[in-house]
Amino acid sequence: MDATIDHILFPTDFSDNARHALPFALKIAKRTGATVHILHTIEEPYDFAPMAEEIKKGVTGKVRKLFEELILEIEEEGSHADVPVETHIQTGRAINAILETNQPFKADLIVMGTRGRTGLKKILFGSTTAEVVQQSAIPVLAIPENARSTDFKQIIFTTDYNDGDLEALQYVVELAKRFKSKIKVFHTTLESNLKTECMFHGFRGLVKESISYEPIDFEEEKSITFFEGVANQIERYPVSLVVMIRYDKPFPLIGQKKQSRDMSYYIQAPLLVLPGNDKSTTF
Amino acid sequence: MKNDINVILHPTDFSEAAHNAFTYAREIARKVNAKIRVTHSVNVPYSYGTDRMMQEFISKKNLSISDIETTVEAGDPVSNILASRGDLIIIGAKGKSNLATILYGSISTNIILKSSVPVLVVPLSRKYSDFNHFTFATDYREGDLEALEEIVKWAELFDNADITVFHTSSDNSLDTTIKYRGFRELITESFDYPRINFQLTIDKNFASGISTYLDKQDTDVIVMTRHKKTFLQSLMQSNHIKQTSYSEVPLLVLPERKKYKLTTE
Repeated sequence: MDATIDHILFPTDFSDNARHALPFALKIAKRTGATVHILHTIEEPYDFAPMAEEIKKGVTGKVRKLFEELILEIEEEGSHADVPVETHIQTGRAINAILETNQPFKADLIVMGTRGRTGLKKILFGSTTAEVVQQSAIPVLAIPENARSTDFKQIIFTTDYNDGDLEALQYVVELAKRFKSKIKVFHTTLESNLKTECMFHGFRGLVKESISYEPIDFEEEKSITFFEGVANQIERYPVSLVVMIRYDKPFPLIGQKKQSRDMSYYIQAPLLVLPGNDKSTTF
Repeated sequence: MKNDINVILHPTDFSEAAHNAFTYAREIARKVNAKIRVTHSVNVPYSYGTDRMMQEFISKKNLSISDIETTVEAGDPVSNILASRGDLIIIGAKGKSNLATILYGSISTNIILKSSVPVLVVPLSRKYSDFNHFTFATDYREGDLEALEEIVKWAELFDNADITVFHTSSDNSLDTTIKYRGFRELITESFDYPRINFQLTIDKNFASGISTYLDKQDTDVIVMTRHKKTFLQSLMQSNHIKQTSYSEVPLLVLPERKKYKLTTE
């Protein structure tokens, strides 16, 4: 996974939550020198209907106008006025356009808002964002409506010690350098024995040896599900970004037990989901 | 260590393998200043001739009677051995055999699997020499750090012998790497003994991994902890062609111990 960020894809439906997420995309672009590509997709269920062309033209005109207003807002607000922004209008299903790899630009990060009061579970399952998160070949940053700070001061990097996790951490470190973030490598385990103890120490040792970034610390919470562990972290510390790594298998961290608290918990921190590289690596 | 082993139990059937194992018992008894209890079981209602065999055995070895105690018991050897008091059992193995089930002989196998004290199994083909190199096969199970503490005591007894902490994994994954590194780090942090080194082998199973290792490395004793369904059974059930290489090395089996207190920061 290349840590360079040159093109950020920002899908919008011009809703409030999408508008709320935009500063996150702009801030990252500012720190990385990337271009933000704002994409709106016009869904056209009645392609064959009479007047389809006229309707489409009308809608396109309206979208252009909304884009102009958005660009104006960015310029007026000022702090991100220097960030290069391009706008794109495409037709079809939004999810297909977002995941399309054959774009005129090659996106290396998707930033998108999530609708409503969104629990962590909702981001991962059962929303458009969820579909993107589950299928995207590039990292996806999901911004909940109630996320506040665009400064990623404290990053929680969740790991289950899968093969691609070290590489993913390297990616996050590159991002952290831009924001001078602290990183906490966080693991939850339901059982606690010599093996889990070894893994905690071993991963820490491996990270310290292979990644030269000082502000990384390590924490393991025992006898707890992944969601509860992350919820505890967010309660205890001012977490400004949660990182998860996605593998082809379902999220392995998610236990089935004790979910009442998970379900009711509304995440306030942006969630960065990285595609895991499942290939075995040799160290 | 000196306080740990006061009595070495040496079951004998007066075979060549038992005689060879007795040499180990005698040398280790000298090092730890322990008493040897030689025991023979007869599985028949009379013991004609066995007392005489025991006497001959003692006189042949030029032993002073004060260090040694002999018993001849009727009944099943395994039950008799397990019921006897001793802090270490040293027993001979039939040695080379390509039939896995009789790799160590049925009595030795049963003792290994059931004893609550350490068992040293000595193959017929291996004459006694001081243990200069211990290889501890670990699967990072609970109790393996305590086992290593015990092995360090043994190593110190043999003028600071080398200890290799050995693990076989079937895949070269991050999981494998970090468990290996983590165990190494825990040991390095909590043990002062300087002569511990570490070996990770990627191989399809433990029997194959240890065989490949033994082909390259001289080791005087393989140490394992006894867990249900672990290396021991893997070895005993394996019909791997190379199994002779480990059936020629003495095997020290440590019973499971209580949990080690980890010093975590």
